[in-house]
Amino acid sequence: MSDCIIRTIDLTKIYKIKRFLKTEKVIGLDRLNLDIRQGSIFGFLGPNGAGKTTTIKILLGLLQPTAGEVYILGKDPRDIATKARIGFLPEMTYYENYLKIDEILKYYAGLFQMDPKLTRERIDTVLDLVGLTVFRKKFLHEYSKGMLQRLGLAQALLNDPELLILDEPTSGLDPIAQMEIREIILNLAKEGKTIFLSSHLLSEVELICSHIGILKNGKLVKWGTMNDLLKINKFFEIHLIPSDNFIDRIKEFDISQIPNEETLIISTESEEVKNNIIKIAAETDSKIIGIYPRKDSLEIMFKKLMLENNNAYSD
Amino acid sequence: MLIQIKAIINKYLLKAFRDKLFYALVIAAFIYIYFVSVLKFSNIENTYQFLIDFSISGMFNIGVILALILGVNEVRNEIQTKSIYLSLAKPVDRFTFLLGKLLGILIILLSYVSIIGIELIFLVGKTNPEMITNLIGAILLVFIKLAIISSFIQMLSLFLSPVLNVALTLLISIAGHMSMNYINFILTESYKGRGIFFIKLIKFILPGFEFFSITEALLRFKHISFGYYLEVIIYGILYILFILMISNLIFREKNL
Repeated sequence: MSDCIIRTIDLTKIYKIKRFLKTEKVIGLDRLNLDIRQGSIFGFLGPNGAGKTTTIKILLGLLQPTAGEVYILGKDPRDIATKARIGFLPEMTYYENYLKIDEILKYYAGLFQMDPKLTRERIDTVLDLVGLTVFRKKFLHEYSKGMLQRLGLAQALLNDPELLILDEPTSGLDPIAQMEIREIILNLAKEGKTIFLSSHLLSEVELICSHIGILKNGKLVKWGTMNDLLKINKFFEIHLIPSDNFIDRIKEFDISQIPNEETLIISTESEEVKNNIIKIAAETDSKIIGIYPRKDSLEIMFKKLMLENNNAYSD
Repeated sequence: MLIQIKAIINKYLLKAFRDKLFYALVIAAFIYIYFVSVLKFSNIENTYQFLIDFSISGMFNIGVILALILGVNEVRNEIQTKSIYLSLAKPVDRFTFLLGKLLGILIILLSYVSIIGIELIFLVGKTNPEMITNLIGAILLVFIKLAIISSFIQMLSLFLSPVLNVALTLLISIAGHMSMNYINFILTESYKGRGIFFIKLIKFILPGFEFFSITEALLRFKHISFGYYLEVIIYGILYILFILMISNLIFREKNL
């Protein structure tokens, strides 16, 4: 329990939307249970409207839950002392254009009640870390979206936080900058910091997160370590050049087929089906190029989950 | 908490002083008072009455416009643009945030009142030096009135649209200037309904701006005691704190 950084117990948020004479209730979060341990990089996934931002707002004490409990570093999220140990990067932030980087960071340092010496040191450190040192005297309206995103990360790291809540940290960044930010996040995790990462970039989450939780319609539908979750979705891929009657013989099997020029790629999760396909291929003189054990990418698993039960998410 | 308030004020002042609108309004007020001062009437008494009346009321009215421009969107904009998330995710109390913003606005208003006040003291004082003490008092009371108005604007901005905020602020400003005697007179002459108690209650709750108007005494060269100034200033400060407490109650429960 001591290394539990974020803990939610049956966390529920119901929004009341007023429409003329009626009040409509919309479920933002439905009994969310999270248990995020120190040093982990937790990827928080879900389609738009799933409840990710609601969760983040509750974790930051900006929104009151309707029911349930939430503990950040063992305390209530509205506890002022606890907030001093958290860094937060929102998805899209408007920064006041009339300020320079130095000025806005001094403002945030002031909110952390840092003394002038520490303020200078920390500003130098974080600007160096995100590569903005040479731009520190520029007004914010002169910045590109990517530079503002770097500034967002700089302000989130200003207090050297134990817990970092990042909402789409690489949004608007070019591929090189995305890699740099990923590197920074991994290094922070190595230092023992806990990262709560909400992102739509599934490949990014797959690359850096140790744990994931997938949210759908306010409910946590999948959670666990990245390795365990992706292991569940193991399957086989058979690449072959089919003979004429091969296709007719395999119709009875529940498999997916992807024709690729003269080759055919067959995917199945069943060991038995795989063996039967190999047997039929041999019997029909089809040429097997290769048999590959595969596991779903996070992207495929995510899409499958979203399509389960309903078609709420299909692109 | 003091470091946090200082940070919020600093940021606010940077914004306000880099916003050219502030300078435009100060220059407008400056020119207005200068033109009021050059107008001459048939006798010296009328000239002074006109100068004092129009300068003090002009200073207040332009100050209200400035307070509205400064305050009506200040917290509201931060909520709409979500930049408030960054501030309130830091270890800062919501009350501190409101207080810092309000103090920032008050510093701007104090700068405005000081600049215009110095001009007025210079214009009046060169021919009527005995007026200066009361004139300084009147200018100080204008500032306190503007401070009360600003606290109202901030409170209303937490739950009203800018248009409604402006309308209600102007209404409060007008109603606040009506004296209780005047209200009683209107009620006895024209209204006999059951709502008299509530009208009186509303008037009692609204700021008593009539206590802040000392123009009459100023023109008649009457001595105003230090105690009176002190009472009115304490009343003003307590009133601002009262509004700030209500603002805090609203803001504390607000889901962002």
